[in-house]
Amino acid sequence: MNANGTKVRVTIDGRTVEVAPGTLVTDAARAAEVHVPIFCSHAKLPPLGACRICVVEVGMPKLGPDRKPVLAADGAPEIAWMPKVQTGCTTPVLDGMHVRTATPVAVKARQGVMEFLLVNHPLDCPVCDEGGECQLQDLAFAFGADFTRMDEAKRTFESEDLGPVVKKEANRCIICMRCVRYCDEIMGDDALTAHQRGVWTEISSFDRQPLDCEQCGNCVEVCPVGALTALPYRFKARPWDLRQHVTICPYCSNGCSVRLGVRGNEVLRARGTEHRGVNQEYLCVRGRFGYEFVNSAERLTAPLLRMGGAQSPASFDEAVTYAAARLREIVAVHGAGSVAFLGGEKLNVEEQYLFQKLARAVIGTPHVDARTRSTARVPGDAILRATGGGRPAMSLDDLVDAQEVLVLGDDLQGEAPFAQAQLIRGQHQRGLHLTVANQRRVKLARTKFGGDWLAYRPGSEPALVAALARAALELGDAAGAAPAAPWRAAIEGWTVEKGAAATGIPADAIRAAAKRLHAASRKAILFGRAVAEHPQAASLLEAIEALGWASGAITESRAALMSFGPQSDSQGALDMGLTPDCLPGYVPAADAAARGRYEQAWGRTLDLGAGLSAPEILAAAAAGGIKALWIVADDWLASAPDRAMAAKALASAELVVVNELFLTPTARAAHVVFPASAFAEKEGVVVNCERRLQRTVRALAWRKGVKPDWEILQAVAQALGAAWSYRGAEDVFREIAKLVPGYQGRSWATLLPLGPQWSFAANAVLPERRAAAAVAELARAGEGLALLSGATLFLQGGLSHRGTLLPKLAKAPRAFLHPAEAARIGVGDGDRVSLAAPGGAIELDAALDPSVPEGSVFVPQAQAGVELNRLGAAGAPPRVTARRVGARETVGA
Amino acid sequence: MFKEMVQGLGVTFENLFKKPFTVQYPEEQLTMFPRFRGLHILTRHEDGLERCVGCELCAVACPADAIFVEAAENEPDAPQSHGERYAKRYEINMLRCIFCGMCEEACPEDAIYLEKKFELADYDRDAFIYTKDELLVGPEQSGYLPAR
Amino acid sequence: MIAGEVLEAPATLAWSAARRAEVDEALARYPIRRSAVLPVLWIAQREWGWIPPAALRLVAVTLDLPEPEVFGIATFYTMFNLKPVGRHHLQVCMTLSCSLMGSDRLFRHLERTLGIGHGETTADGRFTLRRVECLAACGGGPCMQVNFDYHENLDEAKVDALLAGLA
Repeated sequence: MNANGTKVRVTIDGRTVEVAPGTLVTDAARAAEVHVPIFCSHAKLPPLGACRICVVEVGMPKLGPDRKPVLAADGAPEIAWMPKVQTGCTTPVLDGMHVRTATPVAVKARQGVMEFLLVNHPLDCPVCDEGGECQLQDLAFAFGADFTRMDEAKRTFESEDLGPVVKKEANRCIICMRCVRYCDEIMGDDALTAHQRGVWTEISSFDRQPLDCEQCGNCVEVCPVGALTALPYRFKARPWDLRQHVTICPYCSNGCSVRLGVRGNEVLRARGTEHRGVNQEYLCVRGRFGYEFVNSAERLTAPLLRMGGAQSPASFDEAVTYAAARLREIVAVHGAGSVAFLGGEKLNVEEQYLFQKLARAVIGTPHVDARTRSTARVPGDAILRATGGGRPAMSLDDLVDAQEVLVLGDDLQGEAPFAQAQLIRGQHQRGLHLTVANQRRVKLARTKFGGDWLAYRPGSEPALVAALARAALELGDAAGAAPAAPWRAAIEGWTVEKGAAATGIPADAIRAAAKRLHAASRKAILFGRAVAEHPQAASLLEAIEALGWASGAITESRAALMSFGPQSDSQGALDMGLTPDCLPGYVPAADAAARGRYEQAWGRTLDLGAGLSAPEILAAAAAGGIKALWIVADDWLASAPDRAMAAKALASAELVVVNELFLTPTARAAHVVFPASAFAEKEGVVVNCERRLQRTVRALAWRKGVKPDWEILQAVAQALGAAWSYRGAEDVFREIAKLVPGYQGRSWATLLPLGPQWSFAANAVLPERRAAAAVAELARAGEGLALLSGATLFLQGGLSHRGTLLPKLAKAPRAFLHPAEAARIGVGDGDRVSLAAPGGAIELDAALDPSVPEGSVFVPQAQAGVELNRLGAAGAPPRVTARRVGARETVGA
Repeated sequence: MFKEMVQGLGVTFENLFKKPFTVQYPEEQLTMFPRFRGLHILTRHEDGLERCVGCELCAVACPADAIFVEAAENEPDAPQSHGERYAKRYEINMLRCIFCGMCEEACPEDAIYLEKKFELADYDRDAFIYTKDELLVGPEQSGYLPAR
Repeated sequence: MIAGEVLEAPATLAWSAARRAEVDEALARYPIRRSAVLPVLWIAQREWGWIPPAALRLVAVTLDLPEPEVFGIATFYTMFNLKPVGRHHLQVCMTLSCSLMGSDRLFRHLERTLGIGHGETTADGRFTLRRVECLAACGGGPCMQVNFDYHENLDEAKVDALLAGLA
């Protein structure tokens, strides 16, 4: 029976399937295409057996005295059925097991369960938001009886709002515990619990207070009935009103699939997808409630032109003609090198490709960079090299099964919420161990996740990584690579002790962390913006590569490092060559032989000279060296490391073209503003942190006057005389699939439902690079407090400010101080503080937070009205002087 | 031949004194059969609150896709209907409506009925989109449900 | 004792030195801190007479548990008082034997006499009345527990006499 030793055969309603041992009967039934209803069972949660709706009859072949199956008259084995029905969601299959789901016994049992589930259910489907997509409704219709014998009065609860996101109607609850378990095991929040007992059991928060959690709304998503519903979507529509489109969330680099519900031409809700996408049903608060900007009335609807004084609306053709004419003039007078192209991390890869093609092939400038937040020049392929140089990458699903994960420098809660959920799930269910290197005690570093927290001195990431790599090398060379391997140069001269002195972490702790990483067979190293935007990013990334090789996270065939970019398609921007030194597919721009493929395809020589990176463009433009700037999908005044310099650059440029959704401060300073489509209004491909290519689809009709970026770019290119004739974004992707290494042979059709992770062919890794410079030791801290910053959960960039819910959840902007530090400088909770640096000063309210280390102040990125880059970009991290400037504002009369 | 003429005129005279089948519409109004389906009404509870809770089952049951409903939450102090939900917008496009009565059948709240009014002609296409004010019965008809 | 003063719920609480020692003793009994949740909740109830939300928070911090989990545990067990109780906590058994012997009548009598219902406290803070499940005194039904003392074979007259004797 056991055909290959690894599968077991189970027969369900006469259909025989082979499944892995340990599979649950409900899952085996799904494989056999037999429908067994479930409520409490969830693919990501361990079996519970709370609701009993999945009851089935289970039997095994009857064994005779000779331990052989007894055969019936027709030669089939006789089955010994268990005397009572069993719950399918908790029963693992055995070889030879028989299951019956449709016998009178099973059907009657299920009807009985349904009758019990409905004993206290209010049957208020017409009012309930879940009506129409409610599993209880569906199953009551399919399996329930049409009457009940329970005619007593129903027990009732008051409905309550659990915070601004979740509405609870406990009368409808069937106590499946999905929400409680999801919140605990996957979100790591433990915000929900079951109160009371017996018939009075009720799901609620601590003391019925508003939920103190990530407000992700996943409890609403997993609720199979209408007990938990989403307040923002309350009574907005019925499922049959909505056209549902599965596309990719525009917020972070995890690239979660979201199901947008559209009525009319308005997005009314975003939900997870049950069996699709990297995230399945999971969404974070931004993904679930951050769609509001798409519907915003503040969206730009007509191009704006500044000819002389103020900006005024113009037609699309006028704007294109003007932009092209001005660009032509500037190139004629100052040369192509006076034009720079910035931004584009939020675009689809097709648009990114056209953006750099416009710069390089049409204008002829090498100054292209998407990484506007960088504080120093970073090679375009540095992140790819640090994550294994294009070797097959790990996936977000692999994170759950990892034994040891090192999170370097970033707060994943803000930067990659889904990755954090995967880690928490791994920690909870599979024994994953976390090592969190962060200056602050971020969520993952809390004791309840049982990990180790490496609290390094602000800015000393390079020393920490170098020391970890050294400690890993002491344990023996996991890579077995030659001692002369170029990655060794990055950690030249470092010892564990030297790193310990520089980071303030005991050498033993560094050695222990390296040992865990080295010993684990399944491991991962995760990093993000704290690394990529570090002033020493270039050498830091090389040190991470060294750590990868030394700890065995990078091998010849695979790489277990993941980089979380700042935007949804940051990886695509790197892949598409939105960097000054790399053409699409990481082809070195300076390598005449390698770039030949593009010269041939684009019909011009690409000997453009050395390109400037974003911080160099900033400096050059402020000094007047750059005459024209084209900024796409980026509020440069907010993202540039030095706001004053960026303002000067925008003011002194002869032409600033901006593609934007909203009239951002940067767009206000532009000469030409093109209104662009939002993510839900255009098609294309985005690449997430796993380097996975995913299709986005168009959920909304185009708004009047708004065009997708690729059309804007094509129109200007045509006006400049280029023979571009892309009929759609798919045409652009076909060109990419022909030319770009790593993308070759892909097509839109192969990217649905879940695209592949691209990698370079085994023997086509990146060209060998000259030996890197060793990580330099950080200058000792100066005066004042270290200014820490980082992503936070509720706000990310300009788009999240355009709705109502996310800013409300994020509350007023604050600067977080350790209570002891606050006491030292005489600041109380809620007091107004001024943070001053040589570049400038900002003022905001103080909040006391023991997770911030002493000697520093934490100001999250992307808070409304907080312009951190006013302080200038000096130092790593910048030093600020904090001073109390006002008392807490008393609320009320 | 004369006999045939008299016979024919006899039929004519006979009908002159019979009660006619036709009615002098519009001066004279027809009484509709009890199950006639004309223009819809939205009914009220005895306490004057709307029966409709905005569940949209009529909209999904409608084979002509003529009904548009947008629900909203009741103000607890000034509710429009029993319960939490009411129809903020309720519109029927009478150009699409085929008067099949499926909405009436689908309604779990006895809120919508097809009544006897059938004179729906108008000069303007927009006028055929009946809004909630036009459909909802007056407060004096609170508690009224048509006989079925 | 259970019968404490009727408190307003305070914002924060801390263990007194004596209670802290009891808590440490309870913690020492188990290999996992979480296991001590019931003993520690009992200590809190002894200290404050009931368990205000601040005490639940304190227990959660003491045991390194999520606050909602402690709340769920405390509400699961009916013997933890999550609302202030009077000086005398009258708990009338309503399970089968006592019910057959007239505990329902007795409970109604108490309701009438004291003017309060299940789970309520008299205005003077003297009595809290509660229906409870089996007190394991089936041989002496109807049975009522007053704080920690059992009173068996009760009838209306005996109850009146008992109440009169309680200050």
